[in-house]
Amino acid sequence: MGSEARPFFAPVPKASGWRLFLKTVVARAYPRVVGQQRERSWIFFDVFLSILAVSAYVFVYRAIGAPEEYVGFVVVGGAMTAFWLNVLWSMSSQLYWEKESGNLALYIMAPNSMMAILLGMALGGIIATALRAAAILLVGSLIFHVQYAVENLPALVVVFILTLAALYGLGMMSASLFLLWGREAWHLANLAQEPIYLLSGFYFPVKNLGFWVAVGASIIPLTLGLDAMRQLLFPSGAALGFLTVPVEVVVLAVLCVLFLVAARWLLGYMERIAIRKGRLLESRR
Amino acid sequence: MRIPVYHSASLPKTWSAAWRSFRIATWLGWQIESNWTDPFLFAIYSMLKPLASAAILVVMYGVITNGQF
Repeated sequence: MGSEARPFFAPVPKASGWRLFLKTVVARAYPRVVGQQRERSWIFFDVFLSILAVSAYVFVYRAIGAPEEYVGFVVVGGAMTAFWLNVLWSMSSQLYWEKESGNLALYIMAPNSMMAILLGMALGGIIATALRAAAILLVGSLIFHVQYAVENLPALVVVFILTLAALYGLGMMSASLFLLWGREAWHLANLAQEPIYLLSGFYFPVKNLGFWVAVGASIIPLTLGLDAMRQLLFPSGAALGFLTVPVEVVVLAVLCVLFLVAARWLLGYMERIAIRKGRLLESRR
Repeated sequence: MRIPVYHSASLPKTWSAAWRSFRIATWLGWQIESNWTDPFLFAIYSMLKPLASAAILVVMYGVITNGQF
């Protein structure tokens, strides 16, 4: 026989550099998107329960005779809660849960970047949650007859993308923080729901909380993101806005860079602790 | 067959054992409920969450009525 014997398994070319980084991102994003399709009842309940919460606030506004635009504020805020909850429970708490289930050691041992894993989690989370948020927005708008007046669609798209980038950057950063804080993670995630809905003005213009409270709440990207989106979606939004849209866009871009750099630094810090002290949690745990 | 007689002297011992069990069970219940977290953080969490929920409604009302409560 003249032909050479071929191996049963063809050798897989090893990815490295940016190729490995991108493959890791896609691999980590994949289960987030596909997992949702395998449990469709969750999609229904996520949308249904969010609509119930939105309805409660809409009925409160209608009972006290609020202008109809406030109903729109609530629907948009309700849709954005889906992203906030995803960041809290599927980004910030994720590394802690991965540690509990034994996957974190595999992530760290695997010859890929932890930033790529976090980025994949964020990307998958954004895609999966965008479907839910869109459903909440659509159903809420239809049920409560919300009228939108979009005059600057490109600006709206830029604000939305920057808000999500900064928000998931915050999630990537807090993933390491929550891991370091250990058992408090669950309570912290729980604590960051209603108090953040209040401070970030999910259901009312944040301007009404006063200038300094609104400035403090601006560390959460949804505060300025929601404020800018309201200004671009509703006719009276600009009058009720906290800052002008261009200023909010700049601040969101700064937050974006800040959180991503902090996420990278905190991952390094976490790994340094792991190497130096042989643990991944703070000392008293 | 001899029936055991409990003297009054053994009574405080039983009460103290019951009290010890109760105390430890209460502590354990608290720890499980709070997931072994810092009590201060757990106390804040327990109070702040419902207060914030109520405060959202208060602010909504205040926004529409211009603070005329």
